[in-house]
Amino acid sequence: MGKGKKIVCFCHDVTEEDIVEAIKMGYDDIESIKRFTGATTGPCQGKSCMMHILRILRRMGKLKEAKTTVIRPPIDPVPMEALLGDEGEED
Amino acid sequence: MKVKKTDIAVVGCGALGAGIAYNIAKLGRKPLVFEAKYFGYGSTGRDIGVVRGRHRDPDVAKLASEGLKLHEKLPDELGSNTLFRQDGVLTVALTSEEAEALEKEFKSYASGSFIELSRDEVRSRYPYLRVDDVKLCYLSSREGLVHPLAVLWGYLDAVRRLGGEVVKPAEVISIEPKGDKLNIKTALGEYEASKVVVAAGFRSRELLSKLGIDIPLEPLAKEALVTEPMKPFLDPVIERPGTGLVVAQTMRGEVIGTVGSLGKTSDLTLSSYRFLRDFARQATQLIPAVRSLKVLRQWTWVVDTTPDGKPVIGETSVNRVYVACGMHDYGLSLVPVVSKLIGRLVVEGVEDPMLKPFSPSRFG
Repeated sequence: MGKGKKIVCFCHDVTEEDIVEAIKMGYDDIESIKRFTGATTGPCQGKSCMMHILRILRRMGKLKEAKTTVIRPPIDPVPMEALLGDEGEED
Repeated sequence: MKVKKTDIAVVGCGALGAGIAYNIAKLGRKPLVFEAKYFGYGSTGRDIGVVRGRHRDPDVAKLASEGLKLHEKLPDELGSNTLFRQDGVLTVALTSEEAEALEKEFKSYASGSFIELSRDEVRSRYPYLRVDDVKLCYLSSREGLVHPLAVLWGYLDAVRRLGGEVVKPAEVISIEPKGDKLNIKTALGEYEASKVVVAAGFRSRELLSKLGIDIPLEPLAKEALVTEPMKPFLDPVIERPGTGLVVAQTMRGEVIGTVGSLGKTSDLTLSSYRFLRDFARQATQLIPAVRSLKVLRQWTWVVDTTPDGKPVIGETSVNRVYVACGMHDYGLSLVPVVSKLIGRLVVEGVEDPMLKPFSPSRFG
């Protein structure tokens, strides 16, 4: 194994150590880890980090069911100006 | 299965349930908190985090004012950072009707808790705001933004330090009086408690109805979104009560906000384009710089409401069963004060006069 930090979430610089620490503190399900560490909440929305976290949970015997966090829209980040709609557009 | 014995049980581990458990533990008792899903599942974890010290209803306003003071002291008391930032809440009206309603509302608030800002003053204080359409503006400078989950985590940490316990996922299925104790059926088995406090948001109604207690709670769903982070620029929380718009920037730099509501539903999976559009339009109208920000995530946030607009706090018609719910969308502001007062009520039997208007018995 290499030395130095093992980054799990590149968006928010969350390390494997941070995840392990959160699990030890009782934030031991994927939804709680998400909120406590911020991992999966950056611009990638979990695309690059979710599986790493699930692996850590499994390794620590905490993976009760194989599920990710609830995936929220939008699937990819959308600029606010693209959401303005057409002028005069109503419901 | 063996029935586990416990002292005081708390149902629901949002900021309120955790706060109640903390205040019970602080008074020397051992709380056991049941969480059905994960910490802050229904409201706390979905809340924007605005802390206000005012409210239209004078009874709620007393609690809110006290809640704001306690939020200031909370990080010291709990020994953990709740990320409370008192950069003020800027309340704006953009139409004449909105201005009229806002003026009337602020007239009822204690002088000194807010100031009126002219358009020029807004422009010079907050150069990133587009003031062209602003008809009226008030600044409540002691109010601000807190990280809702950091409040919950702070309480939880303190609960555990003081010897309390939290179990999850442990949905409470029913509560039944048994002699001078209460039998609690949960997904993790049966428990026997001396007292129970229900702080389960909109789900409190169903649980209490099994005990013959009817609290006319209705869920109300609101939507929220968060953008990618950008350099901190937006100090105060901006709110436009006329449309329900709230925009703020978190300590992490994300712009977070809400507008309107989805109506009376507790469906947490709803997310609408209409919300995204309305938010984009109204937020960019006031803060043009957010135009280019990317929306990362949108979600639904469910609060529990009552017909008279007041929360429900106190002992129910069933002895030793207490409730704290019906906190509408101002629950987070009240958490420190409500949890403190209900802690005293449950442990010492002392009912603070501030709680009188919120008695569960008012629904007959």
